[in-house]
Amino acid sequence: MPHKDSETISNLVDANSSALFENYNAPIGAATSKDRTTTIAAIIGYSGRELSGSLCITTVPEVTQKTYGGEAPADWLGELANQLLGRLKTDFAKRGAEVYITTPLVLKGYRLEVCANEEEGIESVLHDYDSDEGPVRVMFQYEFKPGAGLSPTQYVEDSMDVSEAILF
Amino acid sequence: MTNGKRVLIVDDSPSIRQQLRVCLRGAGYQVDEAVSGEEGLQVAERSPFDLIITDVNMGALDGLGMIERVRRVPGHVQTPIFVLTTESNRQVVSRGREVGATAWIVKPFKIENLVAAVDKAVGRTESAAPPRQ
Repeated sequence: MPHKDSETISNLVDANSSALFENYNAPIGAATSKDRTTTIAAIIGYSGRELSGSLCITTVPEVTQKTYGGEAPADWLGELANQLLGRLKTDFAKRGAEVYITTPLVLKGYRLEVCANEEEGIESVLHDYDSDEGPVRVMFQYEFKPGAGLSPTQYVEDSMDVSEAILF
Repeated sequence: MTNGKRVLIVDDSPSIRQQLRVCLRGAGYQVDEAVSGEEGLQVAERSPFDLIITDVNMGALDGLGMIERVRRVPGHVQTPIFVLTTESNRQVVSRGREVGATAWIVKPFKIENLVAAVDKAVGRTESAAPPRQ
């Protein structure tokens, strides 16, 4: 049985993925293309008292180049994964769940296809997108601690917003 | 042609360092780089800078630890230090303020806004706090 927050998490992953790629001039929409071959992946982990897991983005170099605005350094997709997880971290914090993020890892290959982990207690959100430059897959894996969950409303105002700047 | 101002970028991400380097050099700044808090501290101890930009999460000595120690270096007591990070937790932001950060910017950032904020902080323009993007 899915966790009570599975739909919320799926929606947050979808909304933040779209916002991130939009921000970097490579808007994404629901996948329609048949060729889902991806050759570069970024994986980043997170953990906290309420939940832990990982986030993985797979895509093709054309997408990373578009988002970077030119020939992208090898770690750029890792930076995108870091920023996407940073957005989710902010949303989770607003729902009472603090998580800490690890350093991202970037992999290259000929055919990289991630799939949901079906171990008991672990849930996965998997979203397939297309951009003009090629396919993007975002997988967010999570495991709540027993009895833990997100707060139903955003009552915790303990985080800055994405792209917010403060001068002390 | 440089404007004579020096900026130190401290970030373990080559892509972020490259983005900042290209844009700040394009704006006339002389740019130095460090890949960790330890290296950033060493570079800051050796050289004067008009501004430092640092990430937070970077191995053994993180960005906030580096700022705390850079503030003890004669010549860097007043140096503007911008934190550029995905970290948005206000407790961590408060700690950044306590250790001596000048500004906190949550990624993603618009490079032209960042350059405008750098210009202001080093005294190249009349006004402009790091703008919300």
